[in-house]
Amino acid sequence: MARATTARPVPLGATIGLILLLAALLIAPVCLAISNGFIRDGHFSVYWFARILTNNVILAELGNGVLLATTTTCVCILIALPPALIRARCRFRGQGILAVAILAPMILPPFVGALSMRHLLSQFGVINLVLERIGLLDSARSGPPDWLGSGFTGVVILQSLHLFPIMYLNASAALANVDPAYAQAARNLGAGAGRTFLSITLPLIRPGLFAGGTLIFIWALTDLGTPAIIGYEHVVPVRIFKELMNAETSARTYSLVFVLLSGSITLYVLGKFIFGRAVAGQSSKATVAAETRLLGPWGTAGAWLIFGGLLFVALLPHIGVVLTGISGRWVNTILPTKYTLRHLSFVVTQKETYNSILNSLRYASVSTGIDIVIGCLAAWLIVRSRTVGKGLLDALTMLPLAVPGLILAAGYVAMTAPGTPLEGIGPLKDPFIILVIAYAVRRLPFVVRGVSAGLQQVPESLEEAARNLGASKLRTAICITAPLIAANIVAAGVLTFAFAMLEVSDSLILAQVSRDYPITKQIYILATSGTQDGANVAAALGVYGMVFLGATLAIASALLGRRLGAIFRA
Amino acid sequence: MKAKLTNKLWLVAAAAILVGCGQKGATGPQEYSSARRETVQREVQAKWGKSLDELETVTLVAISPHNENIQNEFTWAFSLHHAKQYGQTVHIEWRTVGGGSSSIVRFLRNVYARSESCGIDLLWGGGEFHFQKLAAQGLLDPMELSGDVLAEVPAVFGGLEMYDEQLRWCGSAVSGFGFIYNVTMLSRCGIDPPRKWEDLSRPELAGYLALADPTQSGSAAAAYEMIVQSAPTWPEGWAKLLAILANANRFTDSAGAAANAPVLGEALVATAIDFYGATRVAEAPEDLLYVSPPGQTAFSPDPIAILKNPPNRTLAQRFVDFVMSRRGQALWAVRPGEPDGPVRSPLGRQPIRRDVYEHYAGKFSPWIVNPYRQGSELKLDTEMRKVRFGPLKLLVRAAGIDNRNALRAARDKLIETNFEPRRVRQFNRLPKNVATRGEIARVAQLLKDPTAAERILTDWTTFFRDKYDRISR
Repeated sequence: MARATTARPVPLGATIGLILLLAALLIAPVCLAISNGFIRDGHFSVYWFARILTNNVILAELGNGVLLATTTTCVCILIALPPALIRARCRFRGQGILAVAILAPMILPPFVGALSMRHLLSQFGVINLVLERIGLLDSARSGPPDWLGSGFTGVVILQSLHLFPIMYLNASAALANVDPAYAQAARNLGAGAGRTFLSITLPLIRPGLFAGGTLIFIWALTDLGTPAIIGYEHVVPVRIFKELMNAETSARTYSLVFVLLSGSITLYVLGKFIFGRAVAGQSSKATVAAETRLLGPWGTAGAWLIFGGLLFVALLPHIGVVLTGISGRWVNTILPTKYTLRHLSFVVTQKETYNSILNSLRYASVSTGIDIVIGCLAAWLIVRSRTVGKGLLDALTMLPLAVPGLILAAGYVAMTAPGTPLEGIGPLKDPFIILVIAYAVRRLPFVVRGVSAGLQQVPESLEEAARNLGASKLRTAICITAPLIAANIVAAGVLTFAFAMLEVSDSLILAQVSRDYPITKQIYILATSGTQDGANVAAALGVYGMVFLGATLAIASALLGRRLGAIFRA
Repeated sequence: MKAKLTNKLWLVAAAAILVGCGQKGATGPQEYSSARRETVQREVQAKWGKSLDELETVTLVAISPHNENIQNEFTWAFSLHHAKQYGQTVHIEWRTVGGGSSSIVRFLRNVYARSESCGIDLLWGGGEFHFQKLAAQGLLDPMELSGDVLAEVPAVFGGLEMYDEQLRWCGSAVSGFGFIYNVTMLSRCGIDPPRKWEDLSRPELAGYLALADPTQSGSAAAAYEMIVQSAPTWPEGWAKLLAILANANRFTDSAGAAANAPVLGEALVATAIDFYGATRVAEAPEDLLYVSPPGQTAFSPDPIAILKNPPNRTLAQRFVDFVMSRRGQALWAVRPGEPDGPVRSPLGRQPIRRDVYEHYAGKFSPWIVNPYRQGSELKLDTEMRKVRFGPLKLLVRAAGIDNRNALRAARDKLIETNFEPRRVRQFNRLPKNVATRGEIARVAQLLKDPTAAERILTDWTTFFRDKYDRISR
């Protein structure tokens, strides 16, 4: 099949433009932040780098991070594939509701979600109290089990419950785009269902799984909030965060950022070459109608049990947040013993808290718009064009996933420091622009990956056909490509908006004046205030955050109708 | 489709704005607006011929690790006070930099390295140690305090300075240290409640203790110094502290978070500043108890200071005057609902002025103690405290936090071998460069250089890990 050749100047110009834009918004601040790690006594030096490579504690922490990310990614695949398969292959009553509900775990607000998990899983927490109540545990005879352990298990549980929808969405999209003719052919040739899945379906959905797996792996590797709040300190992001918070930060910290950055990029590049090659020509749409089976009552019950069970577990932190938000007293009991609406009403009567909700909506919606425009263009250049520099562009758009937000934010602070030309948009003046840029840069990979996955699975032959019939490039893009990947764009937009609303690191460092606080910073301030009801008010704010994000999904459902169910099925 | 989605996003935003607008104009809880505000309104009208809303608003910029409750209560009270006195309402802009007092100090140093002013008027709260350092670096402006105020604040209490002799900072409240525990769960597990610091190292509490990371929390660092000084010698104090560190199941980033652990069921006991402990106990008095170990704790000041070249010096001085006035001091401790008390919830801290305890007697929250009557039986060696501040934080980090699992394993081995003296000696051994007072002072100097500090911390971490591994074998 002849590949469409693109008019070189336009893609090349666009690629260069995007590379320069990302260089200014991403590379420059990161370089500013880590340059200290390579300077000793005023000269370039790899001294700090060498110190890290010979420090067993740090090497062990790097190992912990890789193990943590691997475990979380595997758990996400294991728990996301069954519902994704059911979704792709079966029809049953209530499927639409479940398809939306399964995205709910993603809208967990930071800090308070981890706090509520700790309340649930800790040694004298809710689960052990339940076990004691039903007679399976006796604290007087033996110490209650510590479900969080050293913290590793707790972090894996929380990260997996939070991130598995990414894998579910990607797997669903990939499965929906697999041409059923291949599976039918395999079954006709005598292969069983298991063998067909392992030999045919799994390789075909590999790009989708890889797209989700890469996001989850790098997210888990560079995640700061979950390990910090769960108390698992032995990972590099937590070390970097703590060292940056010290009065005197050693240059080693910045060198450590470089190591983490290099590790993430290397893993990403290795992963891309080993697992992530697009299965060109294997997937197609519309050659054969998708084969879905209508489930009977028992099948429907089974599907509900799988979805419902997963949802129940995944929504436990949310339930905990809601209960904390309305509890007047919750000590040593399974459920609160007093309830109050005081915290919920305080959030809306207090100027700072409701301002934070509005701020987050402003920052997240503008940054999502920017991400969709830049992300679609970048994805098209990476997947469709054959221009020079697209590999570099691909790496650059993925780079934000490997850059701890704190470092990026520190870079923006340096770029807008008093006395510099950009002082006016600094954290102390009007940080709207840098917050929006930071959010947009941090979440750009979601859109690029989401749209790329769609583009990879849309056969180029359809575009070629349009071109052969005389359509211009622009018309082909608008009339053929865009509709086919529209659901990917919407899904990526919803994801980006949700995660921008929940953005942690940039918010902590770039919003320094209370009038500019987004919701996450306000939650952090309240959750760590140490006041009597600070955690309750933080949880109440979290409840509002969840309601807004839930409404986002619900309204998307209303606007898209049945297509939301096929959000990745276009 | 994208356009529809964007519309939908703005729809949600509009809904939020509607919710928000319904409340706009509120400056605090309803009861505050309705009761106290009306009284002030009348006074302002009589004196200035204008309503509160018609008065000019001036802005004060402050940076503080204090929680929102404290910030809100003082903002509301000071703004009304200022309206009555000076015919202007005050908007206080509270700055944060994403961390506690250490982060604030780092931020201020960085800003002052580049410019003569940091654009902030006031620094309020944190350990007095940070204020001493900032004062020594010339980053604090002397303030004025009347003779009446200074007569009620001791210059030194329990060996600690309560204000700077050049008035570059002054304590605004005092805090003690102790521990909070879950009475119900301790009893259910058949464990006797702790009474003194050394009780926290009892083997039956292994894995049931929550502590704060001293490199993140200045108050935790102060508490560990008190534990060390509650023993006769440095090696004995270190051994006492190390045994406590070995029982920790987690190290939190802030003292407040540690105090939450017994409430959330994450630990049975946690070290805590008195007001964190006391406010938690108020939440569930039958389940929780705060103990200040008798003779083993000192009260330290919580300072306020005017920063170098403040944007609005006059207003900053007025705020200091208000905080140090009887009325301002009452906010710390008087029950909500009392005439000079906070509006929303108790702040639960001890005022630094002695006369306030008599003036508002009977109106305080139940857990407020008069430190001057109670007396600070622990006389701190403040010079040693200053010298050891940096080294001790990093020793705890190397011995307890970075090697938490190895420490637990070594301690388990000690318990298993019934505290075999040879292993105990090895367990308690300190790195050679901090064995004596002179050596600690030398290390403290070296730690000022980040390169040397990194090397020392790495060496200590290796030292402790190897030692623990040998003991566990």
